[in-house]
Amino acid sequence: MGLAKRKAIYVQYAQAVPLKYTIDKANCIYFIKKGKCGACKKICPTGAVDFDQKEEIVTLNVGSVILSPGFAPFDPTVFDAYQYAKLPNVVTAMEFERVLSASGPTMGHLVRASDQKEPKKIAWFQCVGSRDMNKCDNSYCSSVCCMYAIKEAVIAKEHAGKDLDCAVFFMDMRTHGKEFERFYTTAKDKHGIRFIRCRVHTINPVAGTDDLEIRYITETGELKTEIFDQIVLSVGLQIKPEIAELAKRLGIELTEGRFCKTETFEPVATSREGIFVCGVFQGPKDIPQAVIDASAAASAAGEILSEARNTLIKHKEAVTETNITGERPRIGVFVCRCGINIAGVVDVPKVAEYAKTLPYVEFTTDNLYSCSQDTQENMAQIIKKERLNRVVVAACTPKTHEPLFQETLTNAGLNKYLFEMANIRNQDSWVHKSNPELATEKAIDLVRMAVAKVALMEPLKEAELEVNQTAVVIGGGIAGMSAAKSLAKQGYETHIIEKGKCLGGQALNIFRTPKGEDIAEKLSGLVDEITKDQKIHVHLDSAITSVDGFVGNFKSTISSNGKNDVLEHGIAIIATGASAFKPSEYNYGKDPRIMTSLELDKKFMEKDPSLKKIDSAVFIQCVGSREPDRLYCSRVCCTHSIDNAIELKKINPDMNVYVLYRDIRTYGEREYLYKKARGMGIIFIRYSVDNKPEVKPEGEKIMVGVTDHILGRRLSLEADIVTLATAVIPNRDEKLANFFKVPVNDDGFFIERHAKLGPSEFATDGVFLCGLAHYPKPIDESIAQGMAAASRAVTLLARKKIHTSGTIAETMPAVCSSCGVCVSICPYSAPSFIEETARFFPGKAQINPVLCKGCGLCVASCRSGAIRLKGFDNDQIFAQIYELSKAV
Amino acid sequence: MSHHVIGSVLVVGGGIAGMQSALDLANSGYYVYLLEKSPSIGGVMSQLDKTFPTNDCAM
Amino acid sequence: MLGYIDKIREISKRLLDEGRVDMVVGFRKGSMPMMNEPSFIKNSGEVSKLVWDSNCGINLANYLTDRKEKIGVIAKGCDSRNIVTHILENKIKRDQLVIIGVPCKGMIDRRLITAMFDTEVREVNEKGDTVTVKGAGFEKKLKKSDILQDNCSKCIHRNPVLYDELAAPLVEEQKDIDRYAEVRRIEAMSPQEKWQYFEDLIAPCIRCYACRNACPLCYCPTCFVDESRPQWVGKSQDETDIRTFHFLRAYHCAGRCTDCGACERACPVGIKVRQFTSKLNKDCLDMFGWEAGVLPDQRPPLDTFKPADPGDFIK
Repeated sequence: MGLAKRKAIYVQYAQAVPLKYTIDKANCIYFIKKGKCGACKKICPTGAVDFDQKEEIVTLNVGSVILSPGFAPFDPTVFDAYQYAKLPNVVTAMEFERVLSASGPTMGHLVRASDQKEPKKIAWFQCVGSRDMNKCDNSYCSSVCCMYAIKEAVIAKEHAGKDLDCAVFFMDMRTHGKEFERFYTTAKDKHGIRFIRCRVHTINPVAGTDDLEIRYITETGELKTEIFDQIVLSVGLQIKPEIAELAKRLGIELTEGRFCKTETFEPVATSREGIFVCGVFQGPKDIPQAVIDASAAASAAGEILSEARNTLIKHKEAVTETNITGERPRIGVFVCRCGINIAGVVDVPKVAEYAKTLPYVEFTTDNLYSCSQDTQENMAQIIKKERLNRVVVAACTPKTHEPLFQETLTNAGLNKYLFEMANIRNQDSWVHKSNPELATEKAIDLVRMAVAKVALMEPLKEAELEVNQTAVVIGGGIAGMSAAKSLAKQGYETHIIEKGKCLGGQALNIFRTPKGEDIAEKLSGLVDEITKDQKIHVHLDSAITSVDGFVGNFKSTISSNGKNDVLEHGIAIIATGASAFKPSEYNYGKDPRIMTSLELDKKFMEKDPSLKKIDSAVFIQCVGSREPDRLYCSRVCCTHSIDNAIELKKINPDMNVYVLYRDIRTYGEREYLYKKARGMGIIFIRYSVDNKPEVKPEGEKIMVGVTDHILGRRLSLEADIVTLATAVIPNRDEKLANFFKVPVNDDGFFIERHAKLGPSEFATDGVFLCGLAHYPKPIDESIAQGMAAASRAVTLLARKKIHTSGTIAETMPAVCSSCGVCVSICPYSAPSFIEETARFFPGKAQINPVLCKGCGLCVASCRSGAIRLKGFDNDQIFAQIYELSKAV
Repeated sequence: MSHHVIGSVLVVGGGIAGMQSALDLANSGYYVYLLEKSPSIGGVMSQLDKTFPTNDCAM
Repeated sequence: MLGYIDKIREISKRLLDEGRVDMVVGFRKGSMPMMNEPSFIKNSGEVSKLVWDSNCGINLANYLTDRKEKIGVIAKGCDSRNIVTHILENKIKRDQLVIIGVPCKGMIDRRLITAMFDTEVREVNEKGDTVTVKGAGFEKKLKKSDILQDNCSKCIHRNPVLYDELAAPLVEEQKDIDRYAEVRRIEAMSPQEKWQYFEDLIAPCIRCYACRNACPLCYCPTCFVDESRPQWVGKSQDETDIRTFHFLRAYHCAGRCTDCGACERACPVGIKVRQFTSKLNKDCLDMFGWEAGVLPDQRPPLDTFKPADPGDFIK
């Protein structure tokens, strides 16, 4: 990004995959000066430098294409008034992100660019390159900037301390994601970040300093001047011109924001058959939404290619495992140079030489790159030739490389757990660069410890499990149906368990999508497709009453109309949905003219003639959402109300339509609707949560009182109808959560495996999540998540057999005191008590190897010391500690 | 079905979305070509510092 | 106290006669003053051995571990809380027990009384709130509230939390008690002072494990100090080993300790063993709002894992 210099041969970042150097052709002397230099080629020990690599054109025949070309952060150079190009202390949020990062140019030390001074005051400007038709052509909302600005402000304060003053200048605060509203509130109340509702026009340098002066108008109309040390521009997301070009070549339709055009009911399908889209190219979005789309696109491709599954993939040959039971340990130690990464600091031959002197070590060597393919093959040969039965690799981190070396062991016929790594790179050569002698000593210590441990390692077994190929989807709403449809199209028998009398869920209550599609029509099409599909079995009026088993082998009892059936299935998808909040405020329920959004939708669907007689309509937003006891944004209501407001305006253009809101959150390209609504003369009045509107039926009319934030005056609106945009409330299902051992948050939504990277699955293997049960979301996102859950499920079902890890806990019943701490504490429900009627050790604890993840929580918690973690046994760890103690 | 279905997919772009698609497809039994313009995959997410709410390093 | 004794005997007799229990666990007079012993009554003819006075400090829950028969057990507030913990930890089943609840007015501190006199205490009698101590050539009347065990003087659970029968009407719980003044005093010390304080505290320890044996929580088949594979703790009088024993034992009791005082009572060299457990009791209360043995269906905080558990200590 130009924040710091890098060399002409570079790796993008330390953890890059592949971790390979690249030559930057535009800056390399060899390429600029036609053949001069070339030093890198001479010096490279593996001969990896090839100046003659040419661009090749490769033609691929594929069954489907997924487009995920991403976005470019908006370039604010065009904004003259912010002088981004001229003022070094005006930076983009991406640049600021690098400054905060430990791997960034300042190693995470928060300093400003001009003078390396620690800033005391930082401002963020929102909507730079978003929601703006004047200075750029991006009238959409970029969806992510509000949240990232708050995150940056909070982290900046963490780095710089409490005294740092952070101010965010915004138009509408759009924290519509899961847990975002809570984060916003904490940022405001706990971290003391200032939020100022104003779009600042100009940044002026303060003469003689590097500081920046801005002028803005506060909410009370006061004009203020303030000086900041640094200003961060929260730049939006935009599609690169070359991507728009590519789309044109592919014949794919784009939206007015140059995003890929999709339909609500097919959220990842482009206008061209067989080509799917995900990520920001589908529309501005954050990471979890991109991950959801990505899985959905994979599912969509899988649906059309299912007959060709497994035709092109390659399988590996299995090698029989040698039995080493009772053998004296024969340890091989391979010390890696990692090019000069390790050898540049540590005396690698010395370490290898030392290893020879250790007990049971029969073979040692050093490798240039232990991870290279030829070394791997060589290592397998050595293991066989030297009849090694334990292996130590002293190299980098097991986190990235252990699986690779374990595979080598497997290929050589050794159990993969007869292996240990000593990290002499990340924990040695990298951190003790300036002290090679001590680093070498440390490497010797680490190798000695690893050898001591590996000598005590035993072959561990991995349990193999068949995966039942049937799927169960709980909830027959739009998300559940989408998941079921996708699973069935990919060849899996699928059962839908719906508690109601028909399929459809909340979508039955909604009039149309913001893109103008008729929901009832699309929905009945989908229901029809589901009912006709031979592979889908719909259970209406049904509920799950018990669940036994675990991933791949669930046994659930389904009760329908008093009849119980047991269903065996390999996976489950939870799509239990949500419903609309029924408020007690605003005189709801006391007058039929005061209704919820869904009740208004019903009137639209029924073409209620009374709608034509309305002269004045008021919408009240955030009813039950974003309040202390329900601190989340319901995500859908702003768009929904605005769309309904437009519909009313269409029915009667003379109608007065008011929307009373706190922040308008028409994220992404939904923003166009907001713009359209304003253009149609719909009046938006902002209220604050501590000064809510009042609704009172008075004779013919309903009087709505609200304080206008611009005029600062109480207004009285006469309304014929008042629509309350009520919160989306999850169908909190503790019982189901308990059946599948999945967590629920304080609001009643299920908690996914990972907020960013695992949004459609649970930490519990074989259980997946989609739709409103995860978080409020519109139909397109529900469908995408339904498909995503299916995709994630298929990756598991496709394996047919699953192997559990060998590194698991095991009880020693003779020492067990039956206190049950392990049973209580295990997040995976792996421990249980041996039955009271058992002949041996009744009442003592046992651990199900299939459910155990080897986290060690039970081992650490067992007061009686009755649990061991295989592969991290006490004697193994003590042996390591003992060898370490020799170092001091 | 008359036409021949090919069991492979081309994923264009190796950011977080492209990677997730590619992984899902590969694990479901399809051959995947992952196309990326730059020398390594990871996209914009690899430039981020920490991500909400876990404050995990974006790496 | 006489009323208590009659009622205890009456209930015990009835339970044994009706066959509702195979045995009643209670107290009988000890061979030395202020040293009542646990007593196991198996037939109703022997109930007259049972006594009750201010010398019943031993925690009877300790005798319920892994019993298979039906047991009637005398339980004061702390015993009952340990019984709750025992039930949670599968040491005994609720339906095996008939709990004879005894609202408690506190136990007297034998060590404190003995220290008041130069010669041997031969006889101790109590009447109401007055305790009369006799020995060779002396007789002294003491106010019971002045000679209570430290834990009893700070007790806010004198009434049993779980019982089937009651030996007396419930008593009024002590209010406005500052239970953790002593812990706060130590918390306020500098690291050096703390170190010295605990060094001095455990200096007399001879590692007899009386504290462990008296504690109803210490029921592991093999205690970590006795384990030899691996040997967590050395067997010697090495200071590190002594420290390890006390610290680790306290942690094993975290969230489970009812402050019954059995450990301190049992210590032959008078170490204030509760200094360790009190700190952890306070932490459990502060961090998790938790008091051991009060809720019959909830496991102690350290027995559960939630991703949202306090994690500030991990940096």
